[in-house]
Amino acid sequence: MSRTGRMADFAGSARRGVTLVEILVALFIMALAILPAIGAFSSSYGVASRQLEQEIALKLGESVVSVLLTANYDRLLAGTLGTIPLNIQTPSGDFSGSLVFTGMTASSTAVAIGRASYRISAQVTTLFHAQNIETPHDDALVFGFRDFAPPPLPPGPPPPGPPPPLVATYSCFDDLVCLRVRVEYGQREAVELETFRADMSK
Amino acid sequence: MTMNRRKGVAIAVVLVFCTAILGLLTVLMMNSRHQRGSHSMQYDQTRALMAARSGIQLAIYKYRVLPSEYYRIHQMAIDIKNGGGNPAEFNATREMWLRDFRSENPDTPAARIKAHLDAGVSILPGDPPAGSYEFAVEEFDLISRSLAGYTQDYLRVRAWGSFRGTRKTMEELIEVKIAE
Repeated sequence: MSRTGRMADFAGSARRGVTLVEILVALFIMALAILPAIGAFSSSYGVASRQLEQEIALKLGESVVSVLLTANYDRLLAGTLGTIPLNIQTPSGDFSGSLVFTGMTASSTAVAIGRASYRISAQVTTLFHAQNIETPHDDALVFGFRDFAPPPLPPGPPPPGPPPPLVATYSCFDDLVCLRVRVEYGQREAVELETFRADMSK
Repeated sequence: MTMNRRKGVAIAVVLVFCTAILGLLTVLMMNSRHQRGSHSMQYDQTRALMAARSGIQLAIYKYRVLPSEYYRIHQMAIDIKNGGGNPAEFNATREMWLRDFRSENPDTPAARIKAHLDAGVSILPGDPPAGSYEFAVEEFDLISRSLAGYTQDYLRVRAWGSFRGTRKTMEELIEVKIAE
């Protein structure tokens, strides 16, 4: 073998060795960059999934609130609503189940929509109690309004200036109830919605 | 020389890739953070809407139990529209009517509802402990619309609700029959 040929072989082998090291270094650097990227993608996917699940849970909650706002008020108050069928359409699937009332609380069976399972519960609580003429109490809903009846004149000279408007009050003879709906979904997530309902039937 | 030049190119290519991946990561993280923000905002908006709905229920119920008292206010509004009446008196009377539906007013049904709603808010670290809910009825009036051959009266109630500063407004139109 000539001297020139040996030099060429040496140069070739040295180039191969350096390229391998280069590839390993490059792979290491790429791995450093790609691993967090995979983590970030996974986290972003998780956030997007949770958002979709929460959106569905909120839609279910709002629908159940609407159902309870139109349910028979007397039966709602007495806790005798029994079973209310629920057929709620969501973009990811339908919730077909029922809300079973036991007294003032209700719950549904778990229904799977997409990858999550949704369970609805509801509670009815009375915040203002109907006024009772026989036994008046301070827990009734009281409204204020302007009293147009002329006030009795106090003895003596009238006070200077125009009299201030009088406020009359009215104590209501119906309950005002709070409707609380809770939708559990995913592992430990839940949304809770609360609104109030008055008796509009009379 | 040739070997050294190639080595430099490889590292440069890797660095360009890494920069691109880091850029992508930054965009992704920002997007993810934004998504997380809108995630909780949607929940807050729904709760705000529920609070507004409570105000509307209260307003409609008051109209149902005290219709004559409201018709006086309505008549005052008509008088002012026709050039008569006393605007200051009308405003005072109207404010008295609306006072019950504003959660900021102490000793009102709305304030008690707000207290109940606030008490039900689960307190997480960093959450404001109280004062999360607010709501009020801002418009309450009777309107008439001419339909085919008859006039229909409506009660128009507009209320807003807010939860942790996220505010939503809703309006309800209810058909009413006013005795002549």
